[in-house]
Amino acid sequence: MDRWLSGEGILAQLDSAGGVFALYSPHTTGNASNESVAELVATAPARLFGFASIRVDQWNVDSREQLEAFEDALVNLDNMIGIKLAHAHQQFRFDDPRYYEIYDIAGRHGKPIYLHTATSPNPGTRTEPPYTSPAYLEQAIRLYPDTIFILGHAGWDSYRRKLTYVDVCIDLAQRYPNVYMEPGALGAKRAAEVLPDFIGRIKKAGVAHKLIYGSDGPQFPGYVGSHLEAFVAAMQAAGYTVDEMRMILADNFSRVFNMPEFEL
Amino acid sequence: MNRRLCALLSVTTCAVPGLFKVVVVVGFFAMLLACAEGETPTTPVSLSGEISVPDGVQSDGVKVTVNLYHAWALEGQLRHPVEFIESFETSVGQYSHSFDYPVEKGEGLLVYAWLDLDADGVHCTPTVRDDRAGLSVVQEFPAAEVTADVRLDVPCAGPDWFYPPAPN
Repeated sequence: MDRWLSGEGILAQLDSAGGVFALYSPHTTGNASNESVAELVATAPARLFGFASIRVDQWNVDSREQLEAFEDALVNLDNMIGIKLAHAHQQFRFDDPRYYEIYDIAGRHGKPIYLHTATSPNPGTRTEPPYTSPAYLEQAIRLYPDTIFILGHAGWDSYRRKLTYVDVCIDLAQRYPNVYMEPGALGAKRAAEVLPDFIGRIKKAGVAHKLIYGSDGPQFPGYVGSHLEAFVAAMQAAGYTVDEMRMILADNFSRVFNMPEFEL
Repeated sequence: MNRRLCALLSVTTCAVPGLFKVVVVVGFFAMLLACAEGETPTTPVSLSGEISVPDGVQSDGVKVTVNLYHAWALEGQLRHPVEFIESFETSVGQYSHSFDYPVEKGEGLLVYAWLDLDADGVHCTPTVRDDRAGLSVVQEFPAAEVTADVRLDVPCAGPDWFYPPAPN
């Protein structure tokens, strides 16, 4: 496991570059600290980029301490380009204003936030709408216009294998300039039946410029590659142009994170 | 019991002759019982108390969802509060519920409840914010019979709103 989830292990699965997420989720998947992510991305800083996170499970007790440590990590650890949150895993509601200072910090430092949306097949994750539906994020999206919200998994309800919250994500992306989507896990076998529908909805809604490709990998050997193949095949079948595919696979990421365009 | 050892035992018993084989088979089944996924140890708990709401809240016939949690679970960096045990439904007023408390999954007992005033099955929506919640920390636990009164007076609050509480 250590070799598989090392910087070298992750790079072996990538053609180009990837984001590495910290997350403090003791209820479900455990903890991956900001420091461990920084060490990992340091193995290949041109190709691995870190997303810092924050521990929230004792918020009434230590929120000030956690916010200070989080902001320090975001600013002072090398190669932290964004923030990762997973409300369903971390067990806090999207509409709980006690946590909004996280969004303020993100906006002030220009670090986009990747937020897990919808459900997860991991035991212990919340499935109720206040923890999974991006509709509950709208107040925060409106209050923090300088903060970029990336709706991770684009509303893919992996627990029920349905596109339960995809239309909510698309609607928010259409109405708010600071909202983007990421389709991680929609190219996996578990989502094979719904991927064409998802790809079609994105095209029909005209929001390809708001979709930042991601895979939710590495998962297992070959997953990253197979996810990409399935996703590209679905886009081709749906009639996406080369420019649209390039935009989703690379250019949207570069633009949102203020990074040079990738050479493909 | 190591899963690889269990598989090896099932193969080796086939090669043993006669009465000795009976002894081996008996021993084999004893080991299978040890190899099987163990049930989580539990202790029975009878919970009772009162669910109340502030004056003016119309709660007749309104469903209350009650979630039971360990106050704390795991150790070290993974130690965390509010670990889910089970859920049941009741209504405002006196309630009682019996359940099996998983003794090795955590410690303490929290009783969290929320009132579904608009009967939509969701604890508040982005635009309708009337449902309310409350939480009670069961004192003197573990115990076979416990009491927890829960007052539902905070709108749209998850259990993390209440627990752990801010230090005085």
